[in-house]
Amino acid sequence: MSRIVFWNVKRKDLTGAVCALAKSTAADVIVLNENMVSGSETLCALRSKVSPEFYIPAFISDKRFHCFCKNRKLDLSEIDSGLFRTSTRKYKLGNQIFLLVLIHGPDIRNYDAESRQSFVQELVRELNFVREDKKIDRLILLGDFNMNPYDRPMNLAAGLNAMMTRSCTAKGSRRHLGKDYEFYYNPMWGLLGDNTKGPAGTVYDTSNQGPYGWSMFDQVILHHTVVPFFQDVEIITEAGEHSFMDKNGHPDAKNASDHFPIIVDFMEK
Amino acid sequence: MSIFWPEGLSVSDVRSPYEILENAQEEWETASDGVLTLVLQESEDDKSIVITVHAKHLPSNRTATLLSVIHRLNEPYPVTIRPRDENIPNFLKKSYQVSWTSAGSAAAKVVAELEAINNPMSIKESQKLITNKWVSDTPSEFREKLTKAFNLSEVKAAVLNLTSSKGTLVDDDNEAQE
Repeated sequence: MSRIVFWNVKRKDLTGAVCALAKSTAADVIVLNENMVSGSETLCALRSKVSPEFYIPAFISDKRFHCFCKNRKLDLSEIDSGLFRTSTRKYKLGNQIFLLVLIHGPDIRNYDAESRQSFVQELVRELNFVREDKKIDRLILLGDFNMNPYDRPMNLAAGLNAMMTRSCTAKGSRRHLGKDYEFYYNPMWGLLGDNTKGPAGTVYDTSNQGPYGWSMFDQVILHHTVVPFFQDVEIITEAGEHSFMDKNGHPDAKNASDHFPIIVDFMEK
Repeated sequence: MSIFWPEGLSVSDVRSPYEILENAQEEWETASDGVLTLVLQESEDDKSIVITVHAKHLPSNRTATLLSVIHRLNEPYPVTIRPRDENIPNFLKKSYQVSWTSAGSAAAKVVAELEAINNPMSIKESQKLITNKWVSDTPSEFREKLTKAFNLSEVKAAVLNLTSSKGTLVDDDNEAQE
């Protein structure tokens, strides 16, 4: 099994919490978004407090994502740096190769719905490019999309085409206006709302930017060929002595981040 | 010297943005001794053509997207460039230009400016002129702006990082997807 943690730390120094998270989850890979602490400082802390095996996989640009890995067999080197907000990593699981695409979508406060839809079109072009150029279909999209699973660009055929259940993606693709679009599976649908074991989303906001209260901005989305390797995804609210949740059960923006981290498990076959 | 002939226009220079990018591609291969090339990815929707330009380090097969070029279907000009890392909010752009054509209270201007930043479609209503420095009307202007886009520090950094890996490089292999 291989375990990846993703966390948008909102430009705060959460090194202690990151180390606790790495330790309590025994994650193989830690991906931090908006980490203002230098990669080498975080690495130093991870090595001294969690495991000396942590390293920084080769990268082209580390502006948006800091990636730390403790299993060299997984590789995780960056093989494509997108125009704005993506980083594609080679991810080896056993004798299978996947592409882990890290994503940070434009935020709601500074970009309107049209700009964010335009970002998804741009993203789809980038995904098509990496799939064709690297000749690998197995894409795992992970990050802060700044969109919910139910937002139109996430599930339009010409958008990310990300469906609610595994069985929705079983056909592999659907046809729209004479063109075939390959399915993605979005397991985050299963974590929305009250009837789940964890919180109802990863972000809580009741201002005009968060009309539903909870949002599921932090997501993992899988190309249909990756579904058999996917095991589980979970929203994390605490690690060791660190709680990421305030007294109301929302992300503790004051002492941690306004995003909860997510943890994704894959299994070798 | 002609005073009525449109400035910057030459009937002998009618190359499309794609053809100009192909010239850039050849130049990159020559200048890098075959280590780097440009990959031109063309896609279209119902209104426009988008040419995304990726730099490719051939020995490692690693890529970085450098810029994209957008024009209307069947009309190569005017054409605009979206440089690397240009996708930042207007209020963070050093060169974002706002020119007022009508008088109004200071408060109304602030409100209209915020509205224009959050909703570019409102620009017309608030009577403001936003200049897009990356739009070209002619091939010669496009060449000039493309040169500037390739010379941005973001592009240079991406190319240097492509050719010299930072972090820890795990030995490359040629494993194919199984």
